[in-house]
Amino acid sequence: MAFLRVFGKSLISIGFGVLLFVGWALWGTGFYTAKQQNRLEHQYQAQPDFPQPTAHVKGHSPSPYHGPPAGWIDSLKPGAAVFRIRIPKINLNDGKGFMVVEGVDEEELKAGPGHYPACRVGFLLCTHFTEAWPGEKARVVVSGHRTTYLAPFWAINELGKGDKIYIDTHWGNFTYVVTDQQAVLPTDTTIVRQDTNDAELVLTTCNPRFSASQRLVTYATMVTSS
Amino acid sequence: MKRPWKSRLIELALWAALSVAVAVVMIHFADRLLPGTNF
Repeated sequence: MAFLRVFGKSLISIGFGVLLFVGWALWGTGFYTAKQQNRLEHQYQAQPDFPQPTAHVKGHSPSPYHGPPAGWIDSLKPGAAVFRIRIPKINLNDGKGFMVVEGVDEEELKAGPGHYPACRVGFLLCTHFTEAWPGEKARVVVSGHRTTYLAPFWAINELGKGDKIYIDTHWGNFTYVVTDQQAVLPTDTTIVRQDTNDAELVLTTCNPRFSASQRLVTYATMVTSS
Repeated sequence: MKRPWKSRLIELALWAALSVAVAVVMIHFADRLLPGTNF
């Protein structure tokens, strides 16, 4: 009888331990991300703006397509703040948006959504294609958590065609509109291919919520640049 | 026989410590327990 009592109480205690873990995963991780976002915001603000592109032909306006300088890209370490993403439709981070970090490895995504990098030293998950940046005529891929770590892309399934995504960078501000959304297998890596002639933004996250069985992919095209 | 409150409190603290220990171990192995990189 005494053994059964101890065994029962042990199971209850272990159960409470599991509940504590779930609470940590769902909300506790958010505190870490919020702190990291605060740090990244300061890091981003400390960086200077890059010069705006000028017209090649006098009297003509400069091309709306422009990215950051190559020297800056080469200097980026995993986890560095690179640009801000705002999505008013889903009130991303209470309207403040998220600082996007360079890299999509586990450690980087704990701090915020990650910009998919080209394969350089320090990046494990990367693409062998040329790196694409907001404002360029290429496909920019940003990945983020759907749940845990402040769940940046929790409500991304609520986005529909025409919804706006704003990207603020040190080389310009860019507006993208959502064109499509689809769920794919995690093994489907075609989204990082640079087979586009448009300035595209692709957001990826896990699908459905609390599962990693699929990736939810949101496609958007650039409409304005300043 | 009714147990003294101190004894009950110590027992409760031990069970609470077990709960916290389980949670700490699970958090330590969270990367293996949670699915996928952007779950």
